[in-house]
Amino acid sequence: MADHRDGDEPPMELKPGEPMIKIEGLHKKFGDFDALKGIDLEVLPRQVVVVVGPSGSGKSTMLRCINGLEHATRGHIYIEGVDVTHRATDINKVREKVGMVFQSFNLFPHLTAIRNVTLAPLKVRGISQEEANVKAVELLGKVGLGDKADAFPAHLSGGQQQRVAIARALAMEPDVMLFDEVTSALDPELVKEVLDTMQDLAREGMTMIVVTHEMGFAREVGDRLIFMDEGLVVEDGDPTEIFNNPKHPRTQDFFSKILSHL
Amino acid sequence: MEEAPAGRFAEPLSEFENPDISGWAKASVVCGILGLLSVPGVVAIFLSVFSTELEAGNVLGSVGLSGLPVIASILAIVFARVAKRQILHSDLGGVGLATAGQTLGIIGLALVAAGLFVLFMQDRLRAFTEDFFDWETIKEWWPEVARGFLTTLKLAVVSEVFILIFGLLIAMLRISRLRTFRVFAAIYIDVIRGLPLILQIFIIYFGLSYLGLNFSRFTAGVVALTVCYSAYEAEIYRAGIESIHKGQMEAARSLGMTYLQSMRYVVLPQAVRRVIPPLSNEFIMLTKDTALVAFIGMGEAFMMGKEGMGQAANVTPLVGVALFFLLVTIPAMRGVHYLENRLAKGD
Repeated sequence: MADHRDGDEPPMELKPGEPMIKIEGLHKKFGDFDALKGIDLEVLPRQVVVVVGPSGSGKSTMLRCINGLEHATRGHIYIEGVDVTHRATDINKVREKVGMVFQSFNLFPHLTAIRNVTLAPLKVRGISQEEANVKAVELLGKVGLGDKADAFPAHLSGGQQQRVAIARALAMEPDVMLFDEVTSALDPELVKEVLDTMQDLAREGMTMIVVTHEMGFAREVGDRLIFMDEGLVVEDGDPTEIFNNPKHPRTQDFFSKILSHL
Repeated sequence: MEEAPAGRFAEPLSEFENPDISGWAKASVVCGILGLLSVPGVVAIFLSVFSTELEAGNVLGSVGLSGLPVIASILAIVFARVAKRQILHSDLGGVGLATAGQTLGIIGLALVAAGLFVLFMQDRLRAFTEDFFDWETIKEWWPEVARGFLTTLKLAVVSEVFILIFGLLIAMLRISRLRTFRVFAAIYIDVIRGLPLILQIFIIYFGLSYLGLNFSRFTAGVVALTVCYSAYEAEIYRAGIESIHKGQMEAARSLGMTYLQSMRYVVLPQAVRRVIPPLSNEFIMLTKDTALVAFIGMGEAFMMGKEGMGQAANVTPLVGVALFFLLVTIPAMRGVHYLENRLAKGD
């Protein structure tokens, strides 16, 4: 397979100030239900955007629209200038640049950890087996699972599985990473190891959109916090600022509910 | 349970070993063994069914069936019951003996009954074995039948290879996002599954020659079986694919893999594993259904057996065919069962 990443512009060559991701008037309907009612959002390179909000507010739907797992009903999404919602856009090429990690891990159960990581680089980017293995070993080491390369997912804990899933997404060398409630299915004692991995990634300068209920992570790692409710962005700004001084009544209500037990 | 006074446990166990009681049990066993005196006679009667030269067996048999074994067996059962009623259950040896005597008694009676039945039905049984298990016919026809069965196996294996490929193809069309493909596959599956196999075999065979395709009978048989069985196996594949969580496809797609790559490397390997047992069952069914191809003149096992039956005026060749089938299908069914258990654990 030819190296079809030639034509892609690396993110750092974006014009100064140009957003990595730009969402314009995004609407999504499921039958009669309006999941998204007009989202406008710009994410700059190296920015870590944390998305919070009550369940059913459209956070996950927005994330899934960004890499084309859901089709936008109306509006546009540009990733490094390419319109994801355009018919002529090769969504597979876009997805190579956008890594995604899921709530339910979705590791491939019939493959070992290392083969989970190497599969897409081998099949999509057409690199050699040796190259893929070297890269995978490096990535598994990075997420702290260097010794689990030959383990099948069933023999890994939830936290370990999720870290393999992160390594798997990173193996495609994406410019953006999307995290969809990646710690929600984990036992409490396994949450930290996954959040630590994500924090390392943020420090390295990865552009990230993180849908989460982990407010500590949002405050410490997030450059920016977005509060969503009923398919709209209600509040958008500095995390600490919003935590300390939420302006919108819905945001105030949400934080008073989730923070009351802290 | 009533509480026993403390002192009783101190007494020696021998008090409970009543010699009279275990005596009944011993008597039961002795009578049971006497009851087995009928064995040589019953065997002689059985043998005389297969050869008239052993007519003498009847004489021996009559002795065997005389009153003695019958009375002994009945006594064995009666004694065993008496023993069991009186025996203390702590006396495990006595209970065991009584049970042994009882069992021997029942076997003895059953033997006598079987012997009497055979003696009474002797002429019919003799005719039956001559027609179904005739040694001369076996010697003459087994190579033909074996050759026919080889054809059967070849037909089944070659067809199965095509069915596995074609069935998967139909399944992929059936779950395609393109409506045209889905509708086509659904119609194909419904029509094929709505028709008797024998009818399809005839239509395809004569249809092919109408189209100017003069296939050999073997090829025509393979085509017919492939067309029919693919519909069934497509549905099995589809069920397997749909049983894989959609998160698997999403994860693969999110990595930039195409739909077909995701199917090929992520969904199908998991789905196929799950459907190996039902697919194997289909293969066993297919092996049996190859017999239907005899009706378009294919010289497979059933055809050869039928021909043998006609020429030898004897059912033996067909019985041979049946045995050949069982030789393959029973181990295959056991194998599938084993696979099912292993896969169930593996998941």
